[in-house]
Amino acid sequence: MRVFDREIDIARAMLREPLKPMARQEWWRGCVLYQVYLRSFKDASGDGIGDLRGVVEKLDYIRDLNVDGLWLTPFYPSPQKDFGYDIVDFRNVDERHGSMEDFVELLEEAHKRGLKVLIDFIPAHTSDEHPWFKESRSSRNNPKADWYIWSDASKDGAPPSNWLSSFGGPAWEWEPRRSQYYYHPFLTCQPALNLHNEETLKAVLHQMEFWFDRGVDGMRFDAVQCLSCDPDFRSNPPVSSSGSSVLYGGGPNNPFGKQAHLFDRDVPEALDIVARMRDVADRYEPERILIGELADTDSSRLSDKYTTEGQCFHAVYDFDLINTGPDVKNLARLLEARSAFLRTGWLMNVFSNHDSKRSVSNMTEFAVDAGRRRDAAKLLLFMQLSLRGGGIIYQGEELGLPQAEVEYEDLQDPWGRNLWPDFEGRDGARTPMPWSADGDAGGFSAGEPWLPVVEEHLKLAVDRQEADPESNLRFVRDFLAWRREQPILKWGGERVHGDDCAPLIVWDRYGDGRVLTCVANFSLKDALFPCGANASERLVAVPGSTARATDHGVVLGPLAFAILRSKDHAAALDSRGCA
Amino acid sequence: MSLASETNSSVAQAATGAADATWWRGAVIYHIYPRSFLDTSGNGVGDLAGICRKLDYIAGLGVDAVWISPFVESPMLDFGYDVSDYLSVDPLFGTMDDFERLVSEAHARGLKVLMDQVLSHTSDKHPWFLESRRDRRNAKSDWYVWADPKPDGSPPNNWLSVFGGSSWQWEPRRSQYYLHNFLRQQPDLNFHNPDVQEAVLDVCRYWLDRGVDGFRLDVCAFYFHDRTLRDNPVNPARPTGSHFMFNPYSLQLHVRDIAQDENLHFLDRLRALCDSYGGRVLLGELHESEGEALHRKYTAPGRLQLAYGYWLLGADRIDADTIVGTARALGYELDAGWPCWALDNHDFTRSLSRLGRNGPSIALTAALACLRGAMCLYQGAELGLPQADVPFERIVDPYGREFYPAYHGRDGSRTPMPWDDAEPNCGFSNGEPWLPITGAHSALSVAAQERMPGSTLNRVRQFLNWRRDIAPLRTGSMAFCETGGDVLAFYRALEGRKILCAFNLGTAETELRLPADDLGVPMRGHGFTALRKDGSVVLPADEAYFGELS
Repeated sequence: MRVFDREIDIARAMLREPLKPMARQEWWRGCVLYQVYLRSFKDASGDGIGDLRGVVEKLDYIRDLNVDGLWLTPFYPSPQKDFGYDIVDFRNVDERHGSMEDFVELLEEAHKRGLKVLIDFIPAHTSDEHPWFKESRSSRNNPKADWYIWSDASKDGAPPSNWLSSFGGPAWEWEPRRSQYYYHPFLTCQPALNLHNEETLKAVLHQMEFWFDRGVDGMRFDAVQCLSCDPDFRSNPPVSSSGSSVLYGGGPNNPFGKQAHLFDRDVPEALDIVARMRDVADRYEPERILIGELADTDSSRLSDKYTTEGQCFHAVYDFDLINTGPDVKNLARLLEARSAFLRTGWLMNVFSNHDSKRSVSNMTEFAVDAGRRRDAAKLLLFMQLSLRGGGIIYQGEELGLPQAEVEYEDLQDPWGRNLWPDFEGRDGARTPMPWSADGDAGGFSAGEPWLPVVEEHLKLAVDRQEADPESNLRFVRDFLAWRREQPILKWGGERVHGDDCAPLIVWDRYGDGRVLTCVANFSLKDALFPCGANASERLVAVPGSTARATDHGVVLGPLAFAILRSKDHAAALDSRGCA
Repeated sequence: MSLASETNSSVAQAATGAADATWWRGAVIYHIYPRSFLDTSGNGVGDLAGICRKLDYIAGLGVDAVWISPFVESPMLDFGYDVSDYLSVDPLFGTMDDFERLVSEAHARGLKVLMDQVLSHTSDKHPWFLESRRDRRNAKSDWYVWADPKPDGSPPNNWLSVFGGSSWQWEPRRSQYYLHNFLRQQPDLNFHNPDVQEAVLDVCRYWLDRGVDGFRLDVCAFYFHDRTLRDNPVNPARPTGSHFMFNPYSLQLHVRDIAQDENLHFLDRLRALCDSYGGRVLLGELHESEGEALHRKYTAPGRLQLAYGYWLLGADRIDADTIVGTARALGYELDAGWPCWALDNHDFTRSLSRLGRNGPSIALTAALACLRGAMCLYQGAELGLPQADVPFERIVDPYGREFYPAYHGRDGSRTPMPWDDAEPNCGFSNGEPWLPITGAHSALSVAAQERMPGSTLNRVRQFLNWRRDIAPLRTGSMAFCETGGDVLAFYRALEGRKILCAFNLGTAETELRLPADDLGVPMRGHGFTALRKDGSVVLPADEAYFGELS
């Protein structure tokens, strides 16, 4: 009998000696994936919504970025209340996005181009229109009565606990057919599955097998902090008056952030469920990988829990880099903590995705305001892809797109509509890809796009950037081609130099007796990285780097970056110039 | 401008000029749900001009007044009970001119006009709320009920919405919750704020100036909440009965969120305003829990002239004991308040279906019309319409969509009036009606019933016209006979006249035995055919007897 305890899990994870640099060279460690937000990538049918055929058309584009694979956001049949994260059928393709034939073709064509394909999998909730839920809600004694999380009302009729939805409002919804509440950590129309019911869990595992059997290379698991919840539905306490290390989305005043989510997020009971999911992936050859999305918890420090020794998930990614705010010292401290707390697990770097703001607008607004958007975008990509863990590039980030301004009237995202104007929602990062500056809807669609393509993005369209050697797009292609030949950046160890280097952020990647010291200038001024007289010997020719060697060290212009090589770890430590 | 005010004052005069300021005692009030009455514009939704066109029909029923459900501007999420402009007519229903014509035409036929006033809450699209929600410092920041979250971010207390779930909604612009006793798009006004009281009194004044004879006050005990936001206690008597079990609302005793003492003081102010016009009437809607006690308080002298609760509206079974028990609980002594009896309205399943009857009970309708009090006759009740079966795909009532299938909502009692089965859409509209008209309803259309002498319509019409001019049945004192079983019998007495009213509410013939002197002389003209014998009256099922005592 396993005792479920948060602290035991953490202690278990922390007992590990850190992973030996270069020891594990699986393809997914340190890989770079490209996230395709299907609705907004490329619309081949002309209905204004992106589709699988559109992705097939653009596979060469993705390959030419020199990424290792792509993660495709949900394409399953869905009422689209949360744009595909509300599934009614796990084994099909929504007709808005195409057909199963289209999917099979996409998979074959991607594999032909050497691209891995990860699909999005939503293990912990369905749409309220899913046949499972329709049956479960119909009575208290149907065969699926226990497939979702049901509870009687409190004595006064109120919900059984104080749990809140991260999208705003209580997380419990009354179901008159059963005279009970059901639990929904997100939208009301997204009831949580009860994965502790063996039958339910098996049903979910079968859905995974369905797609692995068809040849997908892995899955991105949605919201793994919600795989389970406290079996007694205990109420959460308020956050401690001394604050919390957990960073939440939904704006500064989202009431969700006022609770310490001890009982509704990241509960110890979840890990046994993850282990069962991993068992499914492990039965396949070659191995299929699982990447968990981990939010609403101190993911920078707890990622090991979900990835220890390559067990459970292969890797997780999180929102801490996104939510940490624009302060360079904070960012440096966060990176330091991430590096120190990651022992044998794997944590991928994400600076932007379909759930967040565009990275240049979010992390380097100062530079965008100063007209240095392009350089800031290069700096962020350099950083994302040189830190340990590899990264997931969200579509449009290779173009350095800024956040699109979407009027309240045009908002589609239910999260944004609930919490506006505190939180403007996710639409500004979900506007369609600008393929050509002059085409209809930026070449995205022959029809009316579901969200507008903003003027500012048209100037940054793919066709413009292909023609410009200084563009963000050309930089990404060149940098990733170079990075392919840098095993230390993929599999090496990492040590972050801390916040005293600000506005420089400095980190070492090391392995096989070599060290690569990475330096990024998060300011609009020149900065000197004093590394002694041999700077010119040590400076690595990194695509896009404008840093210059001088007698005193390396000079980095505004938003510039550099990599310096040295022989061993100790030498790198000696050379750090920050006081 | 001067022309307009002239029109207003002449309309107002027509109202105040009405003979008797206590006309409401014993009145029969025809309740119109305007969306479904008659559509003259072809948009599938009834309108004010449609009501105007049918005023002769209404007056012909022998009723004294109409109550019109909301027709003011609204986003219609709760079909008019979410007001976005109190001083307007929603274009869906017509124009202010249409309304003024309606009032004067009704008055010309001797019909009073009661308007629905939804004062407890507004729509979230009302300019007052748009301003109030903006921040914590604006001029109307305290016009609604705002509260900080608990330290854990959850709502400030355990109050529940009548329509399901917590009655608190988060507002990010203020980082506060606001209270909504109904839909979250229906924020509650904060009546603790004197400015709010003045504003809603101004609303009432506006319409009184336009000649309305009074108001039906929507959920009139919901105006105030406990200022300190204390939790409601658990209801120790877990309610039973299918009608309320689907909703956790009934698991609490609603002693903090509604029915606060301050509510009465506000009603006093509203009554004083009406009295300054003369002859204007307040008809309040009371909620079900503790309804009888509330009724006594709310209809005490100087407050509401009339009030109705859910005693019969929500009942699955009504017999003589139900009615006698309710009347006793409400009180009918000389100085007691006046209830408004109602079997049907737009919020409840039509009584024919609710009571599981095979056919309409004309005796039950007649009985309510003769009890001490006023009566509401909901459109279609005069036709004996059953509840319409609206399929889920066509359900538009948010209450029904929320609780379906445990509760199908209110659409089945809100379907359009069947005027003429020979016409498309039963003569209701040239367009597609907003709710379907069922086959069962079209067979019971007005035109079809006009042709049949013994039809429900003709029986009800005959009876109400007969009763209309018999003063003791309107304002007389009341005394019940101890009968028991299915027979309901009582005397009404006024200025030396005394009338025995006896009704068989059951399904089998029965006999009412009384001393011959107490049975009186059978009255004629009401359409019932019970037979008086020596010392008894033979009452077949659904029959009634009226005897005048000398």
